[in-house]
Amino acid sequence: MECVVEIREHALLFLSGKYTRGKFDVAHKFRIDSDESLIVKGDFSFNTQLLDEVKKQLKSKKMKMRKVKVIVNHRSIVTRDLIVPYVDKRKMSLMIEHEMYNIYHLSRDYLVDYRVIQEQKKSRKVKQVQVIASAISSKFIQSLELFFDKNRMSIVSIETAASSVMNLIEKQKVIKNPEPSVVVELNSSYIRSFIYDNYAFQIARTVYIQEEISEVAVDRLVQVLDILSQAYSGKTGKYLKNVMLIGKVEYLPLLQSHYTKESQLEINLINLNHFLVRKQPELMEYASCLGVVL
Amino acid sequence: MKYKMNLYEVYQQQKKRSKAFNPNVVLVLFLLTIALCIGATGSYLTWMKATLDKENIELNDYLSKLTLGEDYAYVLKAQKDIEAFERLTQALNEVNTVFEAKQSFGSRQLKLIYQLKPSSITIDLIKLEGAVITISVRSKEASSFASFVVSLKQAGEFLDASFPGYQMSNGNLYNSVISLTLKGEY
Repeated sequence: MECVVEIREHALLFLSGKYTRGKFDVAHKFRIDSDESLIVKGDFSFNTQLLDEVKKQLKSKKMKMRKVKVIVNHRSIVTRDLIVPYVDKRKMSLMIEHEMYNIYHLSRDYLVDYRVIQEQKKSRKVKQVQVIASAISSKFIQSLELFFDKNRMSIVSIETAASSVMNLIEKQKVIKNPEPSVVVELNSSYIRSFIYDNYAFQIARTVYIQEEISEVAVDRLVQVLDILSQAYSGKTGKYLKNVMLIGKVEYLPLLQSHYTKESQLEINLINLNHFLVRKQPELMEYASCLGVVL
Repeated sequence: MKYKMNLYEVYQQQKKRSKAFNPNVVLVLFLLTIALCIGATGSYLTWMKATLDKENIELNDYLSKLTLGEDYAYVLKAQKDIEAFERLTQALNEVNTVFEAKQSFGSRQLKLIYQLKPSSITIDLIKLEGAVITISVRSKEASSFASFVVSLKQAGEFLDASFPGYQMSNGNLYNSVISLTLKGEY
């Protein structure tokens, strides 16, 4: 049994289930919203009220998992895609760590990890690797450890939401055609987009918003898509053809209404039916959690 | 290739590393290192002292041996001999210098003496003492001694030629001794 917890600015998402033979059977899922920000000054902030709520929910769902995989979906965790030379694992770790420290001027308190997205050949002899790297402060992890200790849980892994969603996209072969496509994770607090061209990852960008009203959130998404499309066409000469939506999928009709048939932009939901044992449309909001169990 | 991201694993690795560099552990290691250094230095100094003591004993033994005095006397004697030899060598060198400069007495002078000798004079003895050649002569004519000495002087081979006089013996024979001084520095 897998248990995944996603930490957002104002919410905690719990997902548990069993992953066997390429299919995931969701056992429980619940969300705890908080009026106060859960991440304050780069530290996971929790009070007894939140702890009680978590304990109550776990008890009511009869969830007795002791090991938990954590996803941090917040701007305090720095994520960036990098292209680095192909070297051995140890050297690559050092190189990426060095790059991240230099780009973001991070303090020594930050810890850096990465995962390989794809290998690229610059020329016949020169090989490069595209990676997604993340940096998190050790203070943040300490506070997470404390929180899960109080819930009698231990952390197995910590990953970023961007990395887990990319894992879901790649493992579930979400991209169906070679045309430039963008996978958009839309939520009330952020819009995360991943551009793929010819099945290969190109760029990922996150825009943080604070829009509870669906129309405003969709308007922001349309703006983001326009900017992305223009920027990508300016760089490559190709326009985005497909938009695959996850997250708040209930916004789909509203989003589709923004685009006419002439716009040539096809907007669809990501199909995870072959991956999930039981169809649950609301699971689309747990995309980051699903990416971790793969 | 690494296809999984796990920041928690990195955190735990760093935690392990920082535990290894715990200030107390570092202090203990530091103190241990110092103790080891002191121990090593102490051992080295003890070993050095033992070696020096051994050498000292050996030197004392050597100095206290009787043969050393004899050897010293022998060396002193040898040194004196060397000095004597040096003095002798110096003297010999001076003599050699004299010998190199002096005119030697040889067949040339003898030949000259016999050439200049008047037929009336008979030479009984020629003797060389230092640079003086003493010739014992006899003749029936007393005046022949003087002419012989004059001839020798005029020859220029000798520094001086003289005779103190003559004596009569056996009735008609006169005896005399002519002294010739060789040229050269003596």
